[in-house]
Amino acid sequence: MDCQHIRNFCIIAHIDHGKSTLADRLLEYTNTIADREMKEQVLDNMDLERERGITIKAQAVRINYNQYELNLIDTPGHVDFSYEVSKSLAAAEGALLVIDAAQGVEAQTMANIYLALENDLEIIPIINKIDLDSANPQMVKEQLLEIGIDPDEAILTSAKEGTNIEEVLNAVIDRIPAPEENREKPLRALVFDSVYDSYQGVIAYVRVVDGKVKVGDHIKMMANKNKYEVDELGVFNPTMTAVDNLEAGEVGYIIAGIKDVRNCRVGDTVTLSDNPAPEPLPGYKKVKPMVYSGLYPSDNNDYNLLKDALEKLQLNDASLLFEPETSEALGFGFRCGFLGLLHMEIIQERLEREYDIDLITTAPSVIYKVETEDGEHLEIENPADFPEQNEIEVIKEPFVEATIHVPEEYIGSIMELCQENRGQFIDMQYVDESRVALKYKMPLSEIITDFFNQLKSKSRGYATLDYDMIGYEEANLVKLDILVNKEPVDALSTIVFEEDAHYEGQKLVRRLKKLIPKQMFKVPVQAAIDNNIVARVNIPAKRKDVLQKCYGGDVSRKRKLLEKQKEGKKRMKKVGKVDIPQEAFMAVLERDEDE
Amino acid sequence: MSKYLNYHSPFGIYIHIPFCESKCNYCDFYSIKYKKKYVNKYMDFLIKEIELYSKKLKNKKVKAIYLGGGTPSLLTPSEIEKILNIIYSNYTVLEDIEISMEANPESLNENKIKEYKISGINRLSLGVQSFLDNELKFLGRIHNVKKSISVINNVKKYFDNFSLDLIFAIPDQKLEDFKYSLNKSIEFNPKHISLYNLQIEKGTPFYQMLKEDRITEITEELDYKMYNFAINELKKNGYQHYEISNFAKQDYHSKHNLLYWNYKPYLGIGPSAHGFNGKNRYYNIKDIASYINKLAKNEFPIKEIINLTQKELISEMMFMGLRLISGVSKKDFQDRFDITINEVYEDTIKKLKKEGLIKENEQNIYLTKKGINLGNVSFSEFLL
Repeated sequence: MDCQHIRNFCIIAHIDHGKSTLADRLLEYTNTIADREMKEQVLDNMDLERERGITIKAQAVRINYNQYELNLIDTPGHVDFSYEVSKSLAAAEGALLVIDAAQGVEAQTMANIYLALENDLEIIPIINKIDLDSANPQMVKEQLLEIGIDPDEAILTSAKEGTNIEEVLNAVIDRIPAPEENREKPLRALVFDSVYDSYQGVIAYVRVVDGKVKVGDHIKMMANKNKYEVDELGVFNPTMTAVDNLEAGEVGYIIAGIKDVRNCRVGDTVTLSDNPAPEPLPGYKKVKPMVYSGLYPSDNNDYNLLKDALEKLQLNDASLLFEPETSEALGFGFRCGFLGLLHMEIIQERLEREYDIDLITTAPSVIYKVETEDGEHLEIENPADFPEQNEIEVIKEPFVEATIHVPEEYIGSIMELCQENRGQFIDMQYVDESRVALKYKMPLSEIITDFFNQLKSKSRGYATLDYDMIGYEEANLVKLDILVNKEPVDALSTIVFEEDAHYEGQKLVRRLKKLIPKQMFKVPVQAAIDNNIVARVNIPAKRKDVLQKCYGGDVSRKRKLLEKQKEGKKRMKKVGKVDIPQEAFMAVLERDEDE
Repeated sequence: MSKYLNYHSPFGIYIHIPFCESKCNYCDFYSIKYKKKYVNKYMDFLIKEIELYSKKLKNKKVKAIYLGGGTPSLLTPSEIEKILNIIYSNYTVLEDIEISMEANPESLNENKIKEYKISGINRLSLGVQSFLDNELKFLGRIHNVKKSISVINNVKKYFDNFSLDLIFAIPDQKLEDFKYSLNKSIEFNPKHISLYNLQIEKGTPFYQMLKEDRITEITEELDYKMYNFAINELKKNGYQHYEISNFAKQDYHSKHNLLYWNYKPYLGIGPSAHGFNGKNRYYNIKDIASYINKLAKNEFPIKEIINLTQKELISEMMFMGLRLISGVSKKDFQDRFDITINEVYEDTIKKLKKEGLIKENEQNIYLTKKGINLGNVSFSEFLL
């Protein structure tokens, strides 16, 4: 297809504003997919995505409409995956900006607009859900005006009811520029996503920017110089359909016997090995995990199972990192790196659900940079690995710029929350008459421990959060150790702000008292900084635990009760003599009822 | 392979009488509102079930009968007599048979008590539960203390062997409250006392109240104090603590319940009743209408038969037997399973001894004083 008849576009939206539903309607309307094949929200095809209503993996579908080839590139919808979003956007020339007619512009809408503008995309505003009683398109138009988008260009739709879908398609053709016709240049194709298929290996989703590629070509990944031979090329319409070649302007997939998604990362450029492009496409970066936590099987026998499962997940998720780790308390497990908290939760949930592994997870941690007295520079992602206090010269931790969009009535409580979490105020601006964007500089470590949940609860769910890494800065931090029955439990160590350390210690031991069941003996739980005890509680010994009722010969019932007890004990980790339940290792994230 | 198969040794018969005047706030046993016409119909099928089993069993030696409920004392003495007559005419009833009946004080009067005795009942288990009216009311009992006292005095005229049941660890109960009820019970000098700490079971009004924060369970510490006060106090008054929840004067241990703890066979008759033939357990359909329908078709009203593996049999013999203060007899165990306890449970025994929960001598393995209070810890360790 000549470039004049190609349009590449994506849909960007705040969570729940109807992105996937609109995509579904576009596919339906153009008969790209028949009704009966239509699962609700075709593009989100992982169970977890459906349940959470978010898109994790970007996808691309070719729509044939009125002699045009329209490539719809789906984008993930969460801040953890913002790099993937930016690469999806880089594969397109235009974006449909979907805004909920009742909710209006939200934090993520803004974040996405900025990304779209950075990538020089033509933006078509879509005011969706106009079928809702609470829809207020006029309000949304005013908001658009404030953020510099012409409200007259907005198309009013109800994706749910299929209103004005044709108008959207025509706007894509009329307003979004055709891709540039660079077919004579050496091949450059942007990888905007990749998935692993157990039969075919890695399937790379690409946008061909320059030149062309055909089956049998020898290609080279420009990031790591690995070479492969193209086995198959194709497009999604929406199922995989093989084609002979892909040319500049087109979107499709490449299968080339790549065995590992880590060799085909998002943002990489594909070129030909015998006629390579001089420069890769701009913006490739290897995504670095920002959040680390220890994953341990609660049953030590499941170690290999966990290893296999992580390997399988990694096949599809190059941003998941893991390496073996040993904890005195928890035995053998893995330290895993994640893009953010959501990414971490998704991985944990998949391990438990899809692979049926009982996990013990330690509290999430960031990477600290430590300079020792000896002049050593350490990067530490596990608090247990911290050097002794007196050996540390400087500790640096990662800071982010957090942008919080919130209705104005919650400004006070959200500012308070940010300050409690060591936030430094940067800026506040009204996004519209009733909503503000708050900017704070904050340590990432504060954000990954319950900040998001508190943000939601203090704003009755209205606040949204987005953040960008700023870099590392020195901070007054100390390691808080926890001793259970006088023995330090490495997996419970955390890094805390020195000024709060005593208070944090007290909070933590109080929570542990609630989480650790009574044992047959008294168990002291202590918090220590630099070997000095700063807080202590005692868990009294269990004195009575016996079923007295007779149940008229019903032995089954007694048996079930005892089996439950035995099972519960099995699910706990024995640390020294003490049985500690899984939840206790996440105690840092728990909140006391009175807090 | 396990011996004593299929009611091989003299067994007990548990008969469930599923009628109550009203349901107590803590009770999750199967019962329906008492109505005379239901009872008449129920009697016919209860009898049928007893007869069906007698046709099926080779050995028919019965050593104990226990009428539980529900409220068996809602049945008239002549109805009770009818049931017992059926058993006498279809089974071989041992001479020293114990025939127990649970009774609610509200449903008794002197004449009825006398007639029950004549009908053949030789042991009454009185659900007095407490000697404080506010506690009885809270529990949802329909009797009051005055009624209990007059009933006990009348029972004493006709029954040498009777038991008083008490409930403790009631929400808001003070240690002094429980001491009062316990001492009051001892004053009547019953041959047997049962003590149950209140369990808040799913599906009961108490469970709902707990969920809504309208009641709070008493602390483990107070429960411990009440129980251990009772153990000492009863011992002082000549009662043997022979099972976790049961105390009796010499020679008055409950024969029927001992069958459970010694893992001996018993038939379960009536809706929701449980039985055990020495190898398999079964339980009956709960719903009385379905129960009757089954029997009307000459089928056993069994909901499920549970085939037990050797491991399950062993575990159950242990956790039932350890409820007895004298513990599990090593000889009985070996006779039954052709392997010794110590061979099966070497590590477990070592561990629990070290934790001070069990002890052993030549004959038996048994719980220590600490082990009695923490019975479930040991029991669950014996699950294979």
